Amino acid sequence: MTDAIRIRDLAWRAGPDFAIRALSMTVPTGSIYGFLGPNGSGKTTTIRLMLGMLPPADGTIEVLSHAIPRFAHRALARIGFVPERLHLYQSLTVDEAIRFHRAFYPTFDDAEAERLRGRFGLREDQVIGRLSKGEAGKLMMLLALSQRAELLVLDEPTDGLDPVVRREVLAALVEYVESQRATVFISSHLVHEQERICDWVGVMDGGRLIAELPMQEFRSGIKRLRVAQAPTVHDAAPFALLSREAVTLHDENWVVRGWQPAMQEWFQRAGSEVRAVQDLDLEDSFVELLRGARGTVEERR
Amino acid sequence: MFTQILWTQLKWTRIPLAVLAVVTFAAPALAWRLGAAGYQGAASEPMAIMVGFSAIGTVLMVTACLAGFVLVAHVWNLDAAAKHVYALSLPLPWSRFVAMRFGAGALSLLIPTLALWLGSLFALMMVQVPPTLHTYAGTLALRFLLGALLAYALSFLLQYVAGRRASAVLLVLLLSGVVVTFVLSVLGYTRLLDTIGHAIVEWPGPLAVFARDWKLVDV
Repeated sequence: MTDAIRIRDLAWRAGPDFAIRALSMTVPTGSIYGFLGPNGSGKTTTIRLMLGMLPPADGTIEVLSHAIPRFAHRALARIGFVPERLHLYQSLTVDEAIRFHRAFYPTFDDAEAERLRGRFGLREDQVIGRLSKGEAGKLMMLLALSQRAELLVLDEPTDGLDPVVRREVLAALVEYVESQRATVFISSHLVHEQERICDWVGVMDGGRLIAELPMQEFRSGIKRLRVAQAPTVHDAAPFALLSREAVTLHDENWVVRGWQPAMQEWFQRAGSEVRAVQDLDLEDSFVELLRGARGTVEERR
Repeated sequence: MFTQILWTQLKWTRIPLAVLAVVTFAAPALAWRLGAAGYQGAASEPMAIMVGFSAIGTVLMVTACLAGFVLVAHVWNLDAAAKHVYALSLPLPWSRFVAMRFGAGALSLLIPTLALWLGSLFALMMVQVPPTLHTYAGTLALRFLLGALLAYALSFLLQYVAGRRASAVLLVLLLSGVVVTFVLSVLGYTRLLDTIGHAIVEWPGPLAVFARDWKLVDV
């Protein structure tokens, strides 16, 4: 099975304050890949690089087996894209926007567009500039889904939408994925939303991809340990230590990734004891992952 | 694809295009009415006709320049409002999209051109052109089209290359021109200035279309 998106050693810089650094990422075909990260972490920039809207300073990008940015137009013919903000021509009506969009995509499905228009409650004569945020989001999703794209790239598609509209949009998305077997790359900082639909997760922070793993592993692999007589050195640990903090004079809380029960032996050999192992929910895991990554960066400095 | 781009071009610029069409249609008749008003001859006298239509050239030159500039600026602003994200996300090379945008705008210039041609024919019906004079309704319309296309192409080039900095770039270009002219004049290189000026505005110079009189009626 080939990868829908394959990025290697990607670099890009915007002034002294922000850069994408050595970014490598693989999105398997048929997966729903959640691209998590706090605001300003570089998610939108990565998406723009991925779609050929920005030229990379270094590295390689392949989307649907097309080299980007050179053959971005070929890849874009097979990609449905929903950007972070409304990008459509605001003076057009809903019907005109659909007709305009359809002209560029030979695979565009008129019947599907009409069905989704009805389902989303959009009127043909509504002017785009006067649509509410929710309606604009639904229109962008309608266009992307009606293309019958093999890959959907969605940049914060539900950000700022009310729960009802969010649910409608996600339901349409899940339905589409089930019927088309499409790959979905969905960027968001709404962790719980990603948890419901994604099977892969990539976490971005400060222009770096700090983790990329299956959702199952992400969900179950990050634990909080209560450690008595915690060892000072953890270099040879069989897990990744994301953070540690003292709770009492002798006890510490450790957040670790890749934890297995058998790893208790490592603590015993170091003269310590694991008193409790606690599962973290996805949001806590995400926060701890970010803290761990930021701590590592600080240590290097 | 092109049909849709042309359609959006016409939808977005329909008001400027309508104004331009009205101006170019009415310009010949108005030129005659205003130009001949102070002249004491008859509508069939060659001199009266020549004087009557004399103002049309300047009006049309200015209109052609405005047409080119307005059509580019209007459409650019609409594309730029969303930082060109939509255009860039469409499955075609950026150069092809820009070429289609250029083509659509250029094609829309046919509307004021056609209006000018019809307006010229209409105005000429108001006078009795003697055999010593010739009318150039078609040539004037063609000249207008070429002038407008030139202004459009230059504005388009500037806008799509310089982007949001187009106004600043234009200002720098104009100021540079003024400074160079001033310096060359002060240093006494007037012949060089003349040569440069001729090379720009005389055929086959880039602005040659604006150099000659734009006449509807001539001997």
